[in-house]
Amino acid sequence: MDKACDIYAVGVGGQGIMRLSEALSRAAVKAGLEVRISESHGGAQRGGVATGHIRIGYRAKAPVIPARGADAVVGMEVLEAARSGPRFIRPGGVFLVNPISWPPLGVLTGRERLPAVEELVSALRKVAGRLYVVPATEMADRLGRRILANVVMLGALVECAILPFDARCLEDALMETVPAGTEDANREAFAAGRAALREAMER
Amino acid sequence: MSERDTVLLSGNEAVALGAYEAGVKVAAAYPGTPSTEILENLASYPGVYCEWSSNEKVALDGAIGAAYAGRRALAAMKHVGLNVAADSLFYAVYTGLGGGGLVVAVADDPGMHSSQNEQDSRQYARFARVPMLEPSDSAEARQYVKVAFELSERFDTPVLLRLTTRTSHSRSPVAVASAPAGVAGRGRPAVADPLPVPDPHARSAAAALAELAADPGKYVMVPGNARLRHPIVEERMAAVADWAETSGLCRTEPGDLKVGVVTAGVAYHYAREILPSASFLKLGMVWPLPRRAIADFASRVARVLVVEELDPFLEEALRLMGIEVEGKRYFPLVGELDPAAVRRGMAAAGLVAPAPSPCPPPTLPARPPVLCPGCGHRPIFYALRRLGTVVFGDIGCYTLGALPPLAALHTCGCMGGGLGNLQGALKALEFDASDVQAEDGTFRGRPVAVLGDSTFFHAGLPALANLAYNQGGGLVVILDNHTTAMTGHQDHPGTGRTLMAKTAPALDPEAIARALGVEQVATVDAYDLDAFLRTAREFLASRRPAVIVARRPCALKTRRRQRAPLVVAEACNGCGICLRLGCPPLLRDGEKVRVDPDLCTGCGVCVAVCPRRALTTEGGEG
Repeated sequence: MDKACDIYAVGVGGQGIMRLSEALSRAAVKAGLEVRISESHGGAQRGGVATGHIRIGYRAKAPVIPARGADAVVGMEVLEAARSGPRFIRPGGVFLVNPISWPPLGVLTGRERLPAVEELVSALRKVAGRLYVVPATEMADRLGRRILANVVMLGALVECAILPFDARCLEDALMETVPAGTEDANREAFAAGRAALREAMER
Repeated sequence: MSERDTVLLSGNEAVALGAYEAGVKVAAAYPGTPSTEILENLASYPGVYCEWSSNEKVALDGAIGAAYAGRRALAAMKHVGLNVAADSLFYAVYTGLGGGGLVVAVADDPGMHSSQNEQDSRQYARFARVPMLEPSDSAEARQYVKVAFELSERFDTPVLLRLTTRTSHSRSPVAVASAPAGVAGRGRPAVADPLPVPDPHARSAAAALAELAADPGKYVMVPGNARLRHPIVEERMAAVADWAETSGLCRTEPGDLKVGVVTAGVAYHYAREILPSASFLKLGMVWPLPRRAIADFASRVARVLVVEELDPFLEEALRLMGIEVEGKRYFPLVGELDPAAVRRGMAAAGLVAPAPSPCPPPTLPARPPVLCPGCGHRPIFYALRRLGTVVFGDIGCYTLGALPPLAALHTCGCMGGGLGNLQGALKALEFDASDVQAEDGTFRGRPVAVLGDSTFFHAGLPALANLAYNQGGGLVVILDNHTTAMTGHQDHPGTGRTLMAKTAPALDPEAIARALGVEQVATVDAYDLDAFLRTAREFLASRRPAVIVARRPCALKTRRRQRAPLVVAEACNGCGICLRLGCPPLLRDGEKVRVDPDLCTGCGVCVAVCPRRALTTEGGEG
């Protein structure tokens, strides 16, 4: 297996991009791999864009992924996935997208129009090798904890068979980052994400 | 100490670890992205005094004082913070420190993720005659801090440590003796069970100060003494340049001799990724430069390329050395570098193939950051827009008041700048032939200034003293959310708590304003739109210096819902006036307005703006 893997994660502040990056990078350390991640600070907490560059393996030491260089893009929000995902997804790369949109202020106040989710997803299909729609927020809601949408997405990502470590390793790493008392809920969300992707692959 | 465990640290956390391991005793900073986490993290280690100073100059003066007293000291700030502290940096270069090491960590923000400009702090190294080290990742950040202290003490000089957003805010592996359980990070040390690290100096602080007192020629920078110090500074820099040749901070990585890349900082990694086959000269010290090592490298390659972020700093220095170099001809002068920009430059230089064709960028609605639901700044900007005032703004979350639909903040330059602007604008208005503003009876076009509580303590105090004394006659609104919000909620002299988690008597902005000579001082609840409008009109009409403290704790910090979310009653006719608040839970829904109950904090500000009283708190419990 190629030990190098670049993942670009994008969403809106509050969707857990930092924790997602943290879990992936800790899993890489556990697997004995070099890893660098780059985070966005500041504006994300105030309704702005949140991004994470996760670079695993010895391909490179730069903390930012090159243009069209990401093996996978994780889009936690479809508008942001559509905005910057195409810049990073490599030809033939895997695109995971959570089919929800958080309207920015210009849309809320009626000054701008938000394209339909389906419209944005179908545009992304054209740039990705494989695209899977993972209804992570909806699934996390069903589990009673919307904030676990990022963990659902991690479960889905590990099933794409592109990460240089296995699901067990990622789950263990994830558990090191979660607040005490939420372990079971996190495991459940992780498992739900894995199942959802297996199901999507069969379709 | 054998190092077996690996922790992932941000550059800022690595600087904190390095400073702790170097035996730093006193560290001071004012929060500023991307530098903030250095002090936040350093405060988690035992045996280090850490302080949020009221501004960067005060922080640096404090660190210089600790170094004068023979202890290792650190000051940290963002690039524009070094402008505030520049006066202090320059005198410390002349006096030296007398044995205590002094490192100034300065974090630049290429691309302006969270800044008003993208100045290149390397220019300060040349300008002030200070050695500057620039790490490219977290492991180097930790190592270079220690080298910087040794350098500082060896040559009796402050040393600058330059970081950038990508070195400060990216995480990479650092080897430690024992990793802590859980996640190292903000407020958590990077080693398990840290113990206080002794300062390497045997001298007591009292002994160091006694030596200082016995040497006025070195520490009293009156012209007669300073004239004798300047040549020492120039000789010192020549000596540091010699040292740089063999310091080990300058690394040659042999490769293809057709192209030699000279680079430093995070740009090194970008260049290495895009052109792995080239020869590299990676500079860990970016000022003064190891001239012989550079000349030797340049003589062995056919073509010298400089890859650096922002200014052509190394490029110009190499050119002055008589080396033929290429740099900004291919790489952007403006903005942050990334692998894509470096590839474009390398492709333009004919060294690599261009990147796969980029996908055309879709046209999508922008997502700027917004004031949070329940933010106390929102009603103030709504009110100022209604008054029609010209608002001199400042640096903080409230700068977001400039964005539509509020669009009620009209300048933002630097910390504390708006108050001085207000004074000058008011004096300029006095030259207008006729006072239109008095004649039409409104406050349209009248200038006012707003600034936050942390900014008030940072740079507002001298400006307010000036405004009051020179009778500016202006209105100053202090947006008091009881924290330094934009950088992630740090304490300041108004919060009653220090970085060492001790309580302290909180300073009172109203009492300070009165003490500075402002006679009209009022406090309003920032949610009370009517009270604010009433007070502002009264003060503006008086044309005498006035301060309103508009107070509400930061909504992002309190985070919990204060009251039940609002509901929209039948009476809503969709006029959209409430949408002018730009509050995220309020959204247009067909012919009406809807409230997102998950986002609404129940602050009730929109209740006061709705002419039909269609927004109510009735009908739901939160």
